[in-house]
Amino acid sequence: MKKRRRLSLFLALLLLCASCGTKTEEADGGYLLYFTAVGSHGPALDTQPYDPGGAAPQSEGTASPDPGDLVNALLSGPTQEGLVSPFPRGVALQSWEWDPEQKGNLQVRLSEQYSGLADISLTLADYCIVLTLSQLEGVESVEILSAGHTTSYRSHQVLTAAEAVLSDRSAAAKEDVT
Amino acid sequence: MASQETSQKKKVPFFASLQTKYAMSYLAIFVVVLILLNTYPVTASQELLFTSKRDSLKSQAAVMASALMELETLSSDQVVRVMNMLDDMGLDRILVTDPAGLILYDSLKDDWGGKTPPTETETEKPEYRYALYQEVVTALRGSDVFYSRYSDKVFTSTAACPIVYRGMVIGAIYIQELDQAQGALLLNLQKNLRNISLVVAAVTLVMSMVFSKMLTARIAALLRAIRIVGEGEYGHRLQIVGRDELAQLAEEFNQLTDRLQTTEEVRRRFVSDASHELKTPLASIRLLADSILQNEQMDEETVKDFVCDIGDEAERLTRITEHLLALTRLDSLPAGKTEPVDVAAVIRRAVNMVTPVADAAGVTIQEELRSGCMVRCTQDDLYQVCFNLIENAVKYNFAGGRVYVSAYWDGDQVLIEVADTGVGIPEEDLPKVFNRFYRVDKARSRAAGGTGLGLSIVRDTVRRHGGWVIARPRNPEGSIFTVGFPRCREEEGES
Repeated sequence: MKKRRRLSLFLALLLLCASCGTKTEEADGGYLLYFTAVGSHGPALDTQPYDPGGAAPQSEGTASPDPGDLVNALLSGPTQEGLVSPFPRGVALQSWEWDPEQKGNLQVRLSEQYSGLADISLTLADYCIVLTLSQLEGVESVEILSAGHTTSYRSHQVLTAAEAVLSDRSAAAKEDVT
Repeated sequence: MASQETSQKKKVPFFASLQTKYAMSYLAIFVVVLILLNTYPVTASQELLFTSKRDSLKSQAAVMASALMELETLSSDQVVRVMNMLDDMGLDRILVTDPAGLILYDSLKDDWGGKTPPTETETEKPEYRYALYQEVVTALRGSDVFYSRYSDKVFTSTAACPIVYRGMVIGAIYIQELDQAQGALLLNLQKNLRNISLVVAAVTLVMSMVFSKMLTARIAALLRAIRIVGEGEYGHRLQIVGRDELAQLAEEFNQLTDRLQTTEEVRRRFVSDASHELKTPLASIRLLADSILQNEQMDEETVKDFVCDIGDEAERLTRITEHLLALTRLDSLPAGKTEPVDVAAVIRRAVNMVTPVADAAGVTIQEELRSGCMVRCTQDDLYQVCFNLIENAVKYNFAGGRVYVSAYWDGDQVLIEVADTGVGIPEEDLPKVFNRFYRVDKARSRAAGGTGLGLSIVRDTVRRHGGWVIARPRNPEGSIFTVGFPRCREEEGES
């Protein structure tokens, strides 16, 4: 009888600790902003924590930031050393909306300056937005429009976080085997 | 027992001992050498391997890039086809991307071993993956890049280069090589060096102990010898080994001990002689006094004679003690204040003093004194020297004999000569006449009232003022004593 009581107490404590952990993560602003990293080896993108009290104000009445807050925080540039903004100067968020035709697809409309990006610079900027927004609940894919148009020389328009390969896992896997 | 205690007290602590210090210094040097041995070759090998890998990977990437640039524009199918025709060159991963970083070929997925890859069916959804590695980004911006690191026994090397067609970057190639063989080689090198170092360290430890023991054993022997001599065993000598500084030290020690032994023997002899010399008159006094006391019928005349003899013996005792005191003063006290002294004047004073004794003995004293014989000395010391020599010449002379006293200068020296026509000194005794209590003819010396210390006082006094004294036989009879002093010139004396 005594043992059971002790076990239930231990489990309750474990649960409490687990819930505390989750709360702490959210309280710490568990969202990350992706920027281009400086260096010659490793992932081309790196993160800094999203600070709701920073450049972009959080929407009133919501516990977590909305996509607009995160995109605005991204466009305002990094605050940490070793990170560089991949966005051209003057790019601004025009609007964002959920795609009515495709569930989980978030459409982000940016100003015309974004169309100045091409090739790898465009890819880096695209995936900084995609990886950042994919942390939000319900976001499965992101479609980025510039001045209301999609960029024709993209391989595809609906981008997902899984498409960004940030590190060569094969090396790590092989090293582990050895 | 006492010496054991002393040696235990003086035992040097292990870490303060010279042997430990020598051993430690050898070890310290070898530790530095071993550290260098364990670091420099490994670092140099790593650098060499890095350089070799960089050159190799860059050239491989360049070969692939040149094959792909023939395509003008890169599409997944074409790239896969070309890449499957190329040898993978032992690389672990090859990626080919378009200018946006989209992976067109991944060796982990698209390697068909040289066979034609199956064509994609229309229903199959295309897969998009973007290689967002720094190497790929740098290559797509037009630069070659290489990176290599060694960790966990594996060399991981990556290289990327742009695929350029007519000055335009049409894609990038990224290659990666994981080299365990070279890693194992480097590890083996490290292991071997470590094993060699351990063996060298062990040998060094033993050798440093042996060498330091060899070196310090002689120092320990010297220390032991010093202690033994310090305890009074003056006959102890060190065996000289080799010709190094320690051998010289041992030789110096032996010489020092020789001198110490000689001094000790002289001291003992002196004490013994002094005791004997003091004992003789004391015994005579005791005997004479006992005779007077025990013989009640002794007539007054005899008693007077005995008392007179007691007085003579007491006077002799006084003389001996005065001479001993004079010698002690010469040994221990510094010379008094010196001044230029006219030798002729001092000799005249001494002759005047001795003349009554000479007259009584029937000995004539003749002087030949040159003017200007000035020496730097004290009046009393010079008088003592002259008096002792002239008195000796008179004492050991025959009735009707002569004593010649002369003073002259020769170059930088002033010479005083006292010659006599007396009994003379045998050739073999000449070097010993200045020794304390040495007498050529003991009976005659005692009869003449000598103490055996007069000439010793002369020698010590003369030496004290930078002079010298010698004795030699005179032809046809007697002896000549010559004293030399540095000449003191008038102006020197005044200054």
